[in-house]
Amino acid sequence: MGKGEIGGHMANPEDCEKELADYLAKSFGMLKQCFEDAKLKDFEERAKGLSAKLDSCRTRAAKARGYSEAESATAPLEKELDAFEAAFEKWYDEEADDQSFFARVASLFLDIRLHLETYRGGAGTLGEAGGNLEKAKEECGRLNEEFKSHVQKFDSLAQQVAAKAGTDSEKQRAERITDMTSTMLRYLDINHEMLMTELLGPAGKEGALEKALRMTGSAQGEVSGLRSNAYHLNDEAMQEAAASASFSFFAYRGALCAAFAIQGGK
Amino acid sequence: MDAVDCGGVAYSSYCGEVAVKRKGGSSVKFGKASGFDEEMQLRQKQEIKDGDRITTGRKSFMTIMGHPQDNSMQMVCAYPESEFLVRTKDWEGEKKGEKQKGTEISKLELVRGAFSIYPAAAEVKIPMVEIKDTNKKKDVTFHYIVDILPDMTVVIPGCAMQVTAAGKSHETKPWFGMMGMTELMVTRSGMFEKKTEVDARVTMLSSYANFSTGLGGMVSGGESMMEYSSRKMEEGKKKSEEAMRQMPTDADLEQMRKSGKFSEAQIEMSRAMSKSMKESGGSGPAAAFGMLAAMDFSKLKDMPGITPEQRKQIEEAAPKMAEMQKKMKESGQMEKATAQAKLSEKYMSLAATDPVMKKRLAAAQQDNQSKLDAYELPPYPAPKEWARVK
Repeated sequence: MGKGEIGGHMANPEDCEKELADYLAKSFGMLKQCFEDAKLKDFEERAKGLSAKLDSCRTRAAKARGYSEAESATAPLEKELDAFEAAFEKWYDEEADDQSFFARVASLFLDIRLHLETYRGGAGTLGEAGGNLEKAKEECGRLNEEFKSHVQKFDSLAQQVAAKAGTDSEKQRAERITDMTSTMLRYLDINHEMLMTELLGPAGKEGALEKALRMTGSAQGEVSGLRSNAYHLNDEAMQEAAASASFSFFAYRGALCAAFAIQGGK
Repeated sequence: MDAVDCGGVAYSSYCGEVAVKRKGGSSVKFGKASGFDEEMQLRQKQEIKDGDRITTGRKSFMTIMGHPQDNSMQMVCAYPESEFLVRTKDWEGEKKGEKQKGTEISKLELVRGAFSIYPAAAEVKIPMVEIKDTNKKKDVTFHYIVDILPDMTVVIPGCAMQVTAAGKSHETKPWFGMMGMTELMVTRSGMFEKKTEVDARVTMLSSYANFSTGLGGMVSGGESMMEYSSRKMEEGKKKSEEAMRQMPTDADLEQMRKSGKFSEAQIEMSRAMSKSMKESGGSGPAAAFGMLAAMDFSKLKDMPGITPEQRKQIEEAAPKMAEMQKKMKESGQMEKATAQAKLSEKYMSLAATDPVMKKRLAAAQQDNQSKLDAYELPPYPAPKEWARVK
């Protein structure tokens, strides 16, 4: 495995920030490719420019202590993403009519934002922990609590929708959603505890990011389920709660990656 | 070293009335378990043996599985009011340096009724027809359904096959690759094949093809596997707590040493077991890891009854064990394994009391029961001349 590619063995936490940045940059590449395939040169160039924007934030982000500082350090990138996405939507409204293309681009923008959260969670944890594994675990715990609070909010909104459901199909759908969220909440803490036990033994040969992605793969599926259910219900409050839950989950994942990297550097 | 047992021929599930006539003439009527405990006990008594003739009653399904040496899937699901004979064969072999053994179904003699079959290499004797595997798709296991009536046999192919009857052979396969879309009816007056416009009885048989493999929980009185496992774990813990109360203290161990009646090995084992059970709260896996970590293996050479050869082996192994224990402790592996063992117990308790899981199990059981209640095979219409295989 090449350095920086997912799967490369993380020997130390210093490489972890770079690996997270490369992982984020890969998603810029996919957006660029999408515009290149569609022969939209301006947007292609703008997507190419995202890497430079990220690089300009990295020095400050690499020193960030905690998620909030990492978020602040990468605010210029997020601002550019907002402007870029708005420009694309404006162009689409005025000049295009291909729904599947629009959906693809929207999905790629979302991926970038989620991977940005992973970068923030990871970089912030690396900075806060300063090589100390116990501090990294604390940061993971804090981000897990943040994630849990958003899932609880979603669950509470889902219960309200279930209470108002009128037709049989509305009731069935509401029941499916509340079953899903109550199950997520039931096992959320124990899943976090189980992930923390991975930090007890030796690091193993697997790369930190690869391990974090693998061990949270099924949870990612559940989080996507929140978003798709909120979308189908067409409920704005639930869509917002689902989005917050997604972002906090990806930040947690980044923190986990940082913790694995610190473990590997011991 | 003993060969690894890969599995025998056994039933995986059944419901309703199942009767078995043994080769020697004795009979066994399969019982209905009211819970997992009883089901576990019944499994000890209700084995499938070579030469068994098995009959299913009304609304009774059963699945039997074999374990061929090449690890291929081997299964026969018997529908209600069916009868068949099972022949089994033991095998022994070696794979990647490991000795293995198992038992496969070597022959099935189908007498009457309907069956969904994954034969693997078993010989299958079916009234009126012979079936040959001509399937070339590597990702599809050869399988089919066969419906045996007094004056006809109907084959529902699951993949490409050659069916021979009265000296005439015909290649057939499931239309669109879906079992239930092709029907080959063999009567005394010839073969008749239908594709897509199959008879209602064929549709029903196809929809129940794997019904008996999904019967989990129907015979267990509503207790889920998780609830059963959790209950057993709690029962085990209570027994451990009782055993812990009787574990020797340091003072007791010192008395044992002074009495001169116990070897250092026996004293060491008691000490290590007592320490690990107290530290782990008596739980099974965590206690086992703890004992491994706590034991001074060099003292085991004094174990009464061991031969000089065994003593020598223990003396040679003891420093290596000590080194391994040291590495496991220093690397955190021991702590990790113990923590994960405790968490898995916690997970089991959570799952056992999960209301959503309970609700889904109840719904699945109700579904199964409704499906079972709805099972009623319509008769075949007379074969149509346009369907005759020329």
